[in-house]
Amino acid sequence: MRLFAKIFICGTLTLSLSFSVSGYLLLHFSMESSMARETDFALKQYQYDKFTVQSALLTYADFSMTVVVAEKPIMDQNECFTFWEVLPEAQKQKELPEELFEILAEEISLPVAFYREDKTPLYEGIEGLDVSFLENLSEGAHAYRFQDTPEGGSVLVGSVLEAGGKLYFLTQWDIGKTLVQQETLERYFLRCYLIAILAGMLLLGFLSAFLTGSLKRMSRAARRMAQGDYQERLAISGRDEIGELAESFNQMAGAVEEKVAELSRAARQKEDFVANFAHEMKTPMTSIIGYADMLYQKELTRQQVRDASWYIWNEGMRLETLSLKLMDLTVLGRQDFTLQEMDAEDLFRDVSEGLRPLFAEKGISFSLSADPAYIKVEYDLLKTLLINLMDNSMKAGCSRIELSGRRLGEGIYRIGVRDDGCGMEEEELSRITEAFYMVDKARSRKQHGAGLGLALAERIAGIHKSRLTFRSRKGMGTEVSLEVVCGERAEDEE
Amino acid sequence: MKNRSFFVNLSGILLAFAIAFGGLFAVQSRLAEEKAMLLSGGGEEQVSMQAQAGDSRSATMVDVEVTVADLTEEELCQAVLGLESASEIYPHEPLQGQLSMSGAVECGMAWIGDFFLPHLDGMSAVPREYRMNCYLWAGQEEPGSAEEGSLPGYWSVSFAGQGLEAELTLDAVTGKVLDARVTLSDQEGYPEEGVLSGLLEDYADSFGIETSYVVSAAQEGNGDETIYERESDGSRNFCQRLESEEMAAVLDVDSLVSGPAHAGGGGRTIYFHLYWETKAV
Repeated sequence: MRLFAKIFICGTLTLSLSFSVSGYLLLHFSMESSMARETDFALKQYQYDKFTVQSALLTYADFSMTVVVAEKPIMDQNECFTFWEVLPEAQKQKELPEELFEILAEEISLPVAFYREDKTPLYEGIEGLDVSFLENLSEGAHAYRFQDTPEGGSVLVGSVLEAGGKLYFLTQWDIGKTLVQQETLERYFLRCYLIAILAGMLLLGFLSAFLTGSLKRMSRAARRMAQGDYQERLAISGRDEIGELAESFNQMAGAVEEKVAELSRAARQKEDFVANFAHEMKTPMTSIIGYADMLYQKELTRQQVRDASWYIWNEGMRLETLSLKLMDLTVLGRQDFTLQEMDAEDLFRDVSEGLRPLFAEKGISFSLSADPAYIKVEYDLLKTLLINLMDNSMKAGCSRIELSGRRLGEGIYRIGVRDDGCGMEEEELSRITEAFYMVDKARSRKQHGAGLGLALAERIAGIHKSRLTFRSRKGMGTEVSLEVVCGERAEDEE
Repeated sequence: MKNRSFFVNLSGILLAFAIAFGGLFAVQSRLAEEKAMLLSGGGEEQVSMQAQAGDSRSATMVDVEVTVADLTEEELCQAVLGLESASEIYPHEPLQGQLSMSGAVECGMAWIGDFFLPHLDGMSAVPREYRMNCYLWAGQEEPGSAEEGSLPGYWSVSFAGQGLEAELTLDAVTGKVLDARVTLSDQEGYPEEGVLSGLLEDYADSFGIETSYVVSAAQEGNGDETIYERESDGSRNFCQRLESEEMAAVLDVDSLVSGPAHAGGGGRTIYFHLYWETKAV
């Protein structure tokens, strides 16, 4: 079942239960209060009416007696007060006339009824009276009962009077108006309930649509992302859970886009790498196979044989260099290197001493200028880097190479290699650290170059938490620099 | 699959509507059921009356001997203050220790015939036949909520016969008349001051409170004007106060005699109204 329907059902159930229960309790309490109030009125009025009846019976002028007050008669027999006498013999002789009760009934505003002890009626002014009610009447209590009438309802109240024998006296208190009011209240409640529940359901519908609408938008965006649109983002509104989800979705989309781009780049680089590698392999292999075939197939002169052999050797050397550099690149990518402090001047001297014969052979003047410092480096890697840089300078046809080291502020040491070789165009600078990239392929291959030296140097600079910076002008020379961290011994010496 | 999902969702929405209208129907049914049960005799109950004095609810008596008992000063104070402050009356059956209806009637008639009328030099007599109505009430909602016997209950007794109408308020326990309005419709003229003074003195004596007191004329305008009628035809209004100077609390009784233009068409109406007033010693 869809979330929209679930929210709608749960909301409606909650609304309906709340309204129903509270409405029922309210109406039930109202009914009870009303009935309790009517009962109180009925009992109170009954008491008044009962006193009226008793007063009338007491002053019924057919009987008389003498009242003795303070042991002296207050009046003689001729001027006595009239009271109803209860002497047993009088009781047997006299019976209350029915006309008396008719007169009493007229005096009392409510419908009344009088019954003898044997439950035969003396006066019946109450319609639809269930005589069984008389069974519950006693002298010690006033009994009441609700009963249904054509006017709506009434409260019957009754008790037993002692009047020359038992006498049942009942009154009927009309509660029709109260019941009508109660019905009016119930109808009003029903109308309010209907309006409230329909309005509530409408509101729930909108709310469900609103909540699920946001989720639907997210779902569509996720589908578009799955189809390759990694730039899909959600407009974030609100700081609620939906807003947080949208923000998380955008973050995830950003991360996915970045990762996909990175993977694409890596895949492209691998593709280029493999393509370049295959091409670099192909060229020397083609020469080697060609010359070997020539040696195998043809009768060559000694000089031709020597030339062919030389080409095979030369290309073989290039392949060897290529494989060695590739191995270095692979190793660099898989090992963790620990940087150690060492004297920069010592390092530079080692490098220059190793290359001095080569400099002499090629007639290159070398100068070294370094600030004394201890730098945190991996000795072999940095030496390889510097050698690669100076090797490139030599391949560029320079006549002078300067190796420098300068202390910059905040513990940074800049190492630079400058030459006066052929230099490079500005647009070449961004690609020269790519594997197999060569500015002048012919010149590089002639010198057994594989196009991996600067790629290797860039990797080594990355291990030292740095990167190579190139400045070059065509025909003017090139300067390559990188920054490494000074060691603590350098700071202490300061 | 899509059709199935559609039907499931539609069923859910229909269920929601069913719940909504089902709740309405349930409330209606339940209320109708309760009402039917109530009106078919289901709400029958009995309200017991308090224990009664000897000849309790009976409208009869056997050789009744009624002696109007005395109130102590404190009881009189309570009875009068209760009468003054009663805002809503609640009729009830006589409680344990309270007079029955016949006893109250006897006390009332005794007061009129034995005390009041003789002071008027026998100008009137109690009629042989009369209509009577009386009821017992208390000045609070539910008499049973107080201790038995300690409730300030009162009998209101009304007599109507030829030439005499009386409305008396009696203390429910002792039968003492605390308030009275007596109209003698076949008399004209005013009783002498001495007659009324004697009436007041004897009325004070009847409470049995040992104190010395004086009877003096009250100032005009004294008392509660809603109690006393003042006629605009020049009829005389007569007030007297019964006052003691030796007690911390005093008993005041005012009486007012109205003129011939009484609302009953003629005759004089004498009011006795008893109220309690504390006074510094």
